[in-house]
Amino acid sequence: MKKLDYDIVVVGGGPAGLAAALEASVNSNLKILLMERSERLGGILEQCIHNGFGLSYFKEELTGPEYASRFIKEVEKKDNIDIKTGTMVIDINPDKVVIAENVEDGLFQVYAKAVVLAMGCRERTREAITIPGNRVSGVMTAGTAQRYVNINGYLPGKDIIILGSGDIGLIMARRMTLEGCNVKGVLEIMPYSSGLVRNKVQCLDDFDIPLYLNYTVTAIHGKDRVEAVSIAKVDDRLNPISETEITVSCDTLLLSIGLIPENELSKSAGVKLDGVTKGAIVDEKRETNIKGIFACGNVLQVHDLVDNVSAEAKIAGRSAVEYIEEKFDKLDKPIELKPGNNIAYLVPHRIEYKINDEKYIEIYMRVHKPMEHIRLCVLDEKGNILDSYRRDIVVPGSMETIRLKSEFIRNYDFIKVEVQE
Amino acid sequence: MEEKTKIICTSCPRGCIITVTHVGKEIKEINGYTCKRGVIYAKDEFILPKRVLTSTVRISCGELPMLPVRTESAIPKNKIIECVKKICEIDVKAPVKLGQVICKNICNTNVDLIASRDIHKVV
Repeated sequence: MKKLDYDIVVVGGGPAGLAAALEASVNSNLKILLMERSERLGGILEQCIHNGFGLSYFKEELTGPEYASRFIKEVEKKDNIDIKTGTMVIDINPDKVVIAENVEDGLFQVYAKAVVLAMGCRERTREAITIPGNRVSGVMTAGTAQRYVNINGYLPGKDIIILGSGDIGLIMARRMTLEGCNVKGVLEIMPYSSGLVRNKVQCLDDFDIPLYLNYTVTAIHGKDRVEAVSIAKVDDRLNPISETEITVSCDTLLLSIGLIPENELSKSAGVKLDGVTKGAIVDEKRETNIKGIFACGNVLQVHDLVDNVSAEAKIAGRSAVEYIEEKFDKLDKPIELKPGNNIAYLVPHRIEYKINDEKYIEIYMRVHKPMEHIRLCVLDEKGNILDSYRRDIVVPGSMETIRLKSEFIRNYDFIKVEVQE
Repeated sequence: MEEKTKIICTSCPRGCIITVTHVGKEIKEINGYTCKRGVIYAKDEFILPKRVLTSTVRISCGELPMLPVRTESAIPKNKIIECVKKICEIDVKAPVKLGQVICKNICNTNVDLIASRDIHKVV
């Protein structure tokens, strides 16, 4: 088996892997290997042909392919980044030996000083929510349909029902309509849309596509191809109300019911995961419990905006360099970050290092339920409010960020963040 | 006669429902907004709603069968369907460079349709 040596191995060539590799390259002369299972770099951005990317990172509105190509062009110029596309990483062990395979090298081993995990996430499927009914064709995730339409040039069907009002579902409602399909409606089990308001307006309202809140699909009908679905209103506990059940004909059911970080490799490397985010438990450098293994982007926490993915990946890329060059300066003891009232999770999970030049550390979080006119409060161990941030509105579908000031990074066992009215 | 048009603001996740009271195209009053951005949004959206249109066109001899395209800037919303029909008729040949004009002044919008990625030629 071929054996290779690299300083930093980046697993995944989507927005996270690209930004991590680029940042590591800019800050060092280290040898970096970027591996991507697809034939091309760019990850999911390649099929996200709609615009709305880059407003915060590039201060302009780009399509997915445009956003990706800005990074791809930079990465390809770097002498200290080797790129292997069409390459599947099949194992990473805690000693940072990476096993991968491709057509050119066959099965090969890479010895890395540091590894950046940037594998992204995948969509939840029909099986994840166990919709009863026949195993017919025409039932697929919204992202699969997006790939068929935007990359392959196939139309998956004509009469479409979409379950789930996540952003990909909304985007696909518009896309299929523009391609001449009849999108009969988008069903959302929750009382609110989980996508961005902007997408609801520009993808559904612009084309008079109805959004049915508190609705779900209760059965899938058809012989070889889906012919109809049963839908019903749900009660407060999200159980279908049988009296409200009706059958709607369709030839395609698209699912936009959530995303799961793709952490199979992380697990084999011994990386510990957070039960809420389904991503690694990390410190502010995005280092996992395994020394020298970092995680960033959607494999760490599912982001709403690619701009945040790039920003987070830069942290991981820079940290991998600092780790190899032994530039880290540890606190006497780590500070745990604990989610309090109406906070589902916090990333990072702990602060390990002394803060040097930066004035703050960005903390990402999501709330459990929507609330208006609240404050995101930072509390010390005794419950004293150290700092607070006003928000007019917080919703689970929209990630929140606060900037934890450097003056609070000192002798605490833990710091809590919670929502207060 | 006074009419009311409801507009959902997309400036933030709150999605305020703003009511524009108007006589024909003349705005008389704007209500229901909760910040300045809302007033501006509602005004623009009432006078002439515009959108950036993104789609794909067929490409031959390329590494991929479809080329993603976009209007270089926003076009009037009521022109979208006409533009989509026009886009269906377009065939291009690889190679194509990001930013390359694919259709000049599409449907007399004074906006060009441009490629949003490179597509290399395959022999």
